Amino acid sequence: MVDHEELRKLAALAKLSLDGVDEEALIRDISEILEFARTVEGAEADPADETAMEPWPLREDIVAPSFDSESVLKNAGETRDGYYVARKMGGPLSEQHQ
Amino acid sequence: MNYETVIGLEVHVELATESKIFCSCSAKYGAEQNDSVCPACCGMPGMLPVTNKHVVDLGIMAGLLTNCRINRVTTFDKKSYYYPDLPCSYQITQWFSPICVDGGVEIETSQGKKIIGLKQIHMEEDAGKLVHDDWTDTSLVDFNRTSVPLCEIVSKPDLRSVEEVIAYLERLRTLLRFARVSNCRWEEGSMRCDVNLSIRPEGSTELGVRTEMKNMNSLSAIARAIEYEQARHIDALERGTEVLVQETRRWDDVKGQSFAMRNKETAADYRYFPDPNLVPIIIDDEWFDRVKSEMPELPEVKAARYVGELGLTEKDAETLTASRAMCDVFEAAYPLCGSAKDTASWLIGDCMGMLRKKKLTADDIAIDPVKLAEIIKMVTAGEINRNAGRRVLAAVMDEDADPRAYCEKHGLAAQNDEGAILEVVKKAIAANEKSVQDYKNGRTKAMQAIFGSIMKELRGNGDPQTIQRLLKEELDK
Repeated sequence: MVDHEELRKLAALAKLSLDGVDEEALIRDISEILEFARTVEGAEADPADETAMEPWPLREDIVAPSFDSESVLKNAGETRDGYYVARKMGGPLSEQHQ
Repeated sequence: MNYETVIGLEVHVELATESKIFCSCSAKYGAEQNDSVCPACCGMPGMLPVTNKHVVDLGIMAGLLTNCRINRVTTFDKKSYYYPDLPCSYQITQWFSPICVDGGVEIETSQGKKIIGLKQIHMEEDAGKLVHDDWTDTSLVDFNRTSVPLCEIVSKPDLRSVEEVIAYLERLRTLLRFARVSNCRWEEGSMRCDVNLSIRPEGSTELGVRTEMKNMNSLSAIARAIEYEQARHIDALERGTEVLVQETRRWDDVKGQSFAMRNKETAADYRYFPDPNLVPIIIDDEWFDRVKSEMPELPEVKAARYVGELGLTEKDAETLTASRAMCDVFEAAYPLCGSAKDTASWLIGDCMGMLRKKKLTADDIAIDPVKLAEIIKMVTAGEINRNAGRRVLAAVMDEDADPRAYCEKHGLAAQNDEGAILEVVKKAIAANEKSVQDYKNGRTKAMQAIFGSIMKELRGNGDPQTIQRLLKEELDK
């Protein structure tokens, strides 16, 4: 069962605001989803049925042309000198997470 | 009280592929911003990743080099976090079934040999690059590095000192470079390291509070950072200068200090889950055996063979085996010219000298071994002298010249006609009366001046030994 604290933590991680949200209803929904996931996890599957375990096509290490940067940046909200512009986040690099 | 430092490292290396891990964009370093980008690697909706098979090859190779067990069924997972350089807001990495587990790397320090355990090696995609603009309070985002393949090599907390850390990183770098898994260039960020460190009283088996320093990119910075953190932790424990908390810290190498960045997330915060877009990769025997067969002979084994079978000195063998590229040229060239010792001498003395002058390293050597062997054969046969050989070598290394054609064009063929050389010797003796007199008065060094004028006349192409012999014979008459 998800509690209010956990719900707020999840929301913070997902960068979602809970303003004006019926937290009780949301807790019920998430709990149902988790319960469903548990049911799926508990299901016994015959390994022979796991089509996902079939060999899957992989890509050869061959370079294909990229998009030109103009096309890539076409839908960006803001660009400068060939870069996307993003709101500055604290800290130097997200590699901090890796 | 005496304390023990406990260190574990997470080493990221960029894998030496042509293209990215999940799309066909170039993985080459140094392109213009957002020039190696496609809808897949900049996270456009609906784009699906397709795994680069060579990344898996290199992952297996990394595991074999470090004595890991290779998971024959390996999977990719999503690691969620929100940051502008990660266009999908998740990174594709391996959490539940990484490609390699339970390995070890042997290191040697002043304390002797030791095995550093490896917890795992996993494959993942790199993030993009941010350029922070303080004036406008924005970040400029370049997705060229997004989805460039990485291996993260996670050690067990088996390291105890700066010396061990440096030895471990150098050994890893040697292995990975030798097998061409990664070029491991610290300065380009293709090798970087996170240092996890804690302190405990000597003899204790419990681990202390651990802090992590991220993205260290030079051995000297790593050494300084470890020394600083050790002192900070001990101060906190002994004098209560601060309360240690588990956190991620940033090392400022200019200030020589580490700074808290954020409390460390737990694994649950990253909400890892299997990536439904990428089905498990099954490494069958054929695939595994192929990669295994491509394992290079390791440097120390090669060096022992060069000494034992080819008669090289230990120093020469060690110098050559520091670079896989050098070994490749050496092994291709010496059978063609018939002398391993001469080939080693040309490579170590002349080729490396020429590379150094251009501020290049042994790994940058780009010479056709057939042409190198040709030069060595010409010098050995006396067709050209060593100096002329060096000129030809420079032309081959710089412009891939044909050795014989170059010699012909520049008149470098050695003057081996003794009659012709003798004429020049006689002329030189006649023209250098004073030196001849000095020689006859016992100053044998005076012979060098006459030798020089003979060489000049022969445009450097006379065989020095023949000249010396004829000159001495004439002077002693």
